[in-house]
Amino acid sequence: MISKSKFFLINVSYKEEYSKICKTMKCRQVHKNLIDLIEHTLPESISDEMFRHIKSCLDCGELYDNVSATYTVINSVPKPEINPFFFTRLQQRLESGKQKEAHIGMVLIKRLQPIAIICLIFIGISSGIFIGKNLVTYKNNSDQKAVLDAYASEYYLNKTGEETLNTLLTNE
Amino acid sequence: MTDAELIQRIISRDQTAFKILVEKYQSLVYHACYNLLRSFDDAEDIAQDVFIEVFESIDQFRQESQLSTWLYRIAINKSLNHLRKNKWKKLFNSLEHYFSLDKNVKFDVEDSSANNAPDTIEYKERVNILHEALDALPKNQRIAFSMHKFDELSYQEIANVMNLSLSSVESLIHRAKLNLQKKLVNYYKN
Repeated sequence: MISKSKFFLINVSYKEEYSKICKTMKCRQVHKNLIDLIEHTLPESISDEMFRHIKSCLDCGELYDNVSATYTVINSVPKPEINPFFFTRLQQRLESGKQKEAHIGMVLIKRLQPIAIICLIFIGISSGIFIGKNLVTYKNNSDQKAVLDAYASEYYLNKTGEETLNTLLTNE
Repeated sequence: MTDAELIQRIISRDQTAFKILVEKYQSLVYHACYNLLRSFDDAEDIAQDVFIEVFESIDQFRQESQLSTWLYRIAINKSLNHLRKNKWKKLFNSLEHYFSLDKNVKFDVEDSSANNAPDTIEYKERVNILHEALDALPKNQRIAFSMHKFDELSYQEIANVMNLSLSSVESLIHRAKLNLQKKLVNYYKN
């Protein structure tokens, strides 16, 4: 049998424990909805309940104050002013960009000039070699023809020669 | 002068029309860049890049969307490219900063509190914490959240700029808020 005083003690400790659990649950609930609380986007009944908890709970109160102060900085951050010479600087950049492009063009031409000259020289030399080679072959061919003709006429190998040989033999 | 007229005149290389366009949209482009880059000089350079691209390729603009949407899109793409290119540079700078003797240099880093904002150390610290939390957000969440909060764009305008559906933008901003909340709660709880 539990005595009356013992039952009272159990009851008190149970109540304390229960209130502790409730408090932790409320704390969690507050932590999860802090920004909604700050922005007032929660239903009134819920937010009232949470604010009551925030007033009674030191930790949640402190946390709410800090997060609220930091989050609301967003609204107070002033927009930085733009440089009054923004367009002037932009124009300068556009012009320098054009100059840069022209400069790049000049640099490219200058760089490409020797390459073009080298290419021209190479084309000239190779075409010279090609023409020269072809001329030599033609010359060789004409020389060979002359030698053959000489042989042919000496040994009466061509038609006219054959005729001469025939006439010579018949004559004899 | 309407945007369509401006565009036509810029296509025919009218410098005056280009000047009008720049003056009309420089603030929008500059702030869009600044919200992602958080550096005055970088934001100005990238904003200028945006207008140079606009001047050079305005004939490719099909006018299916608003000019401001197109400008936003270019600004965000260029800013993200810049961040990507400077990733290693930033890492090196942060390492250098980490190993530097004076740890308080952090508050000298360019932040938006430089203009007219409360000059207290606490305020600057809060701005730094917020920027750190924002920088840790996934790319799309950060873009959508910044456009909504800093540039005050509607969800529909953000959807147009980011080429997303309205529900996707809503989801992105919701998730951005949850992540931000998580980061801030963790920061202040520890």
